[in-house]
Amino acid sequence: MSSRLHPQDVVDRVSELPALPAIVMELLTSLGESDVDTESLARRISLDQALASKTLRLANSSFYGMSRQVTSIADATSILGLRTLRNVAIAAGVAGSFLPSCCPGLDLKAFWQHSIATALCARAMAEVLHLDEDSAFTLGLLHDIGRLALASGFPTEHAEMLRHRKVMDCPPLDAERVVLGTDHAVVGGQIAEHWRFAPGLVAAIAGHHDPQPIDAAGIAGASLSDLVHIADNVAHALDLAHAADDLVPPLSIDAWSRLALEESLCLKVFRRAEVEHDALCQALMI
Amino acid sequence: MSRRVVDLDSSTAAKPATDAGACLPLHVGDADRCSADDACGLDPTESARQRVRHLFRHSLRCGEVNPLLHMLLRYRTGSTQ
Repeated sequence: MSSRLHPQDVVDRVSELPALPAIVMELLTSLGESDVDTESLARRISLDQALASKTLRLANSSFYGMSRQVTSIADATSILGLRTLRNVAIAAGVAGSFLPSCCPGLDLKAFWQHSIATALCARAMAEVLHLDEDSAFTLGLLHDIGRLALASGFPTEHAEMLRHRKVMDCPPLDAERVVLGTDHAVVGGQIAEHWRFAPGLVAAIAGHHDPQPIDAAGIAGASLSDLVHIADNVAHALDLAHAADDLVPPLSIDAWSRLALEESLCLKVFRRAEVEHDALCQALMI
Repeated sequence: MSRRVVDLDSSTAAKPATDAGACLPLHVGDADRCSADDACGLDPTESARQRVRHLFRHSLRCGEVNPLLHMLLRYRTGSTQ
């Protein structure tokens, strides 16, 4: 029996995915906005018990190295700042939306370790390239979200894809295209649209294995797709998920050239991502 | 036109793996041989080099131009600028 997925089935499964918590949607919408009502956001995060407790645990973790106990979301906002709080809450909210039981066959721990590594690499690269760091972090965190949807929505077909990947020792994207007839980048773009992400994030998630030189705003040059494509490669290369059969996907030389990262800056990104990764995973209990 | 990063045996590209054990039986040259550093009893620098090559095995098999591979090798083996 063929494991190829019918496009309409994929669309149906994506539309059945649970909505992200409202506060996470609000935080995602506020990415890139400067006039955000910080007090209101902090109050709303406080009302989501699971999100608030994860946010506080992270704020108190060694990742942020606070000298005193952070006891409230308002406290966390004033100490960490809105941008950090937003990243923390989005990370906690998205991670909490997919439970291990919903994705048989997928090593969820390795999945999130890689996603966090990509987020940290993307943010560090955005900083040196003067791109939006928050969008970069969020994008890195969510770039492989299509893999979760394939694993949870089509467990039998996904298991067949994993077998094919193991036998052929090929990149997951190739195995998905051969076995499923679609891939996690395409499905990820559909999820991003379903969750009403900003068009730039949708395009970057859908294009993270095939980055294009024009971003969603039509501006030529290095795009968010380029950034997350390279961050994804760096995260695999740094081996932060410690998966025995991990593999660095094909690199787009065009994207690499457009980012034009000097070696000294790359090394800075490598070191920073390695230092921050363990603490952030620990804080998020991943 | 692309050029090869390392000199690999072109007849071995995209061969299926037959064993998921410690040492990959892919026979695509030194670059692809070992993934379990400790088991091979290598010194740390050589282990790091082997692991990087294992992670980049797809690029190496395909002869992909990959500046990241060289940067990672320098980073892991302590021979950075």
